[in-house]
Amino acid sequence: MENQPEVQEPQKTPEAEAPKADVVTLSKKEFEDISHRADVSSQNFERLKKAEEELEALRSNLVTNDVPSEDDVGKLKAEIADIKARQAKSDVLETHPQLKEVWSEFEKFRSDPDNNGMNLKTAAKAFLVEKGLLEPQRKGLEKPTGGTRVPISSGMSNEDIKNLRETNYRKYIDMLKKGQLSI
Amino acid sequence: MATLSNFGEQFASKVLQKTYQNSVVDAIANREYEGEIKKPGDRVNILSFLNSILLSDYTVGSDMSSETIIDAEDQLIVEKRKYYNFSLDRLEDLFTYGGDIPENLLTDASKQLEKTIDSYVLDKFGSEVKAGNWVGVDLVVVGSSQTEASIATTATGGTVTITTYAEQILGGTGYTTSENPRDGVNYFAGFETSDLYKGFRLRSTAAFVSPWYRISGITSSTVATLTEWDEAVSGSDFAEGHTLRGLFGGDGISFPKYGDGNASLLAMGSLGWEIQAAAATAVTSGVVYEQSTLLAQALDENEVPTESRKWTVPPGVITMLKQASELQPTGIAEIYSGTVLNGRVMRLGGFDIIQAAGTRVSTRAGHSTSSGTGADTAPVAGATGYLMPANHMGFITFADKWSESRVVDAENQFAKKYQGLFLFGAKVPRYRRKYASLLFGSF
Repeated sequence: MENQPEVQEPQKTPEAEAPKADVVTLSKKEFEDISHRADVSSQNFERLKKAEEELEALRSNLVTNDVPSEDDVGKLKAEIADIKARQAKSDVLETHPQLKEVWSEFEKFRSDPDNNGMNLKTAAKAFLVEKGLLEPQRKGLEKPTGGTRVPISSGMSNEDIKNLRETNYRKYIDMLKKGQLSI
Repeated sequence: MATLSNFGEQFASKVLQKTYQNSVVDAIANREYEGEIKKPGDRVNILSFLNSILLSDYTVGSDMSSETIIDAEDQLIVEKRKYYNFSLDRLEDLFTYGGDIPENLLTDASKQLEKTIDSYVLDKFGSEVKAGNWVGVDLVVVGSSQTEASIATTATGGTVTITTYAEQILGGTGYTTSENPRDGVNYFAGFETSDLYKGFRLRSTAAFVSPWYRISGITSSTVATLTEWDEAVSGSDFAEGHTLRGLFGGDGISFPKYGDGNASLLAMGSLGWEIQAAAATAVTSGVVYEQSTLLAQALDENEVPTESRKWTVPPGVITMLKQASELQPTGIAEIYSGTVLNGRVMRLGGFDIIQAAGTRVSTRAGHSTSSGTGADTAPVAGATGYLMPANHMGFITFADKWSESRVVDAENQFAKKYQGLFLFGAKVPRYRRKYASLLFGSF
């Protein structure tokens, strides 16, 4: 018997051999869900990346910019005051929507030296009472009777009238003489 | 509806409303001042100009001369403080019953306030009406061979000295009792407190009469201090270097101003003197209409506007006016008959006639009558008369404020109290003293 020469078979190192993947079976729904999550995750990643870049840019901006000037501070303060005034106006209009149509007249009323210093809400009530816009609408020709019904008031509260008496006495007297004040 | 929580404001507003409807003040005074009242003693400003602006001839090529307009601020001091302080215990029961503050409480409170402010304002007229604008019985001491009075000028005006009594003491021939040619009554020929703020002038012959000066102070029966009616000491109508107008003779109305320009009154002899409205004149239905025309004339001579003129009188004079023959039949429209607002009861001769009841119209004693001379002089207190002012609304400024109104716990009881504080003041700007005339009358 003849010996055949040994043929060495090529060495197969474990690295050279791709591991066999486990096979997972997904339903269509599960597949779609995973795909969606992958998309969202990718988008979030992009957003995060973008935000980080922006933050970096802001930081570098902050470091390189000078301390805000007085003008800038002044502008900011003016903006804040403006926002507050708009907010106050908005509150007053919400309480008394009838003021919207006569706002310019109301501003003239407020700028009158006699009415200087009045709180905005008090001034609004005083203006509406003077214009007769605060009286409740009556239906028909019925007059208010006694009994349990409360007499129609000027629409100004006790506190409003006290405030008016203390801060703008001339207006208080004027309204008193016209019968426009009643608690 | 009243509750204890809003009682303070309701009480203040209702009392004030009634007061403003009925008080005389709102009919005869204005509220034109600058500033706000916050507390007692506060001052507000009233501007007044003491000098008339000159209108001069312009010549081409010549420089114009500049005039200094005297400008003085008059300050109204909120000097009066009145308070309410009463328990609310029983009142609370009445709330439950009537539902509101009892009407009689409000009426009574407002009546008290009305009387207080009306009396206060009307009292101002006796010390502020322009010298020369009074209607009454003038006391005249006729000039004689000796000088009866002389004026020495001062920084604020002048000092007048009557020589009559002093001369008598020294054994001269002067008298301390003098017969008044105006009414034939013998009067004490010297200064008295009742003469304060009235008009005084020197008189000699018909050609020389000084303007009316204001008696600003009584030093003694023979010495008094004088100022101009508006307390000015300089201006375009003052002779150079002098602090009283018309020292060269003439009052500018009845006689030419500055007389003949040759001699100052101060240096003249044989001067007599005169106190305007020294005694109260009798007011009757037969003369009251004529007296109202004299009041109007005084305002006209001072170029006071004809609108917004008021004459404030007691109820007795209202009756006399209604009975006056000049008003029969009632051709003068009584347009306020029925509803009386702020005291207006009728209209007459360019005036709104305002009725002020009770003690609101001020009174004053008249100049003393007397008998005897020298050390035997026996003065008798003059009859009291009413000071009935006729004025334009611009004459006097009134300011007020109901500064505090609150309900508090009583200190030593389980009860509530109401406390209110009312502040007020009034002022006549000096230049506006001419906006009023005054009838000093008795009836």
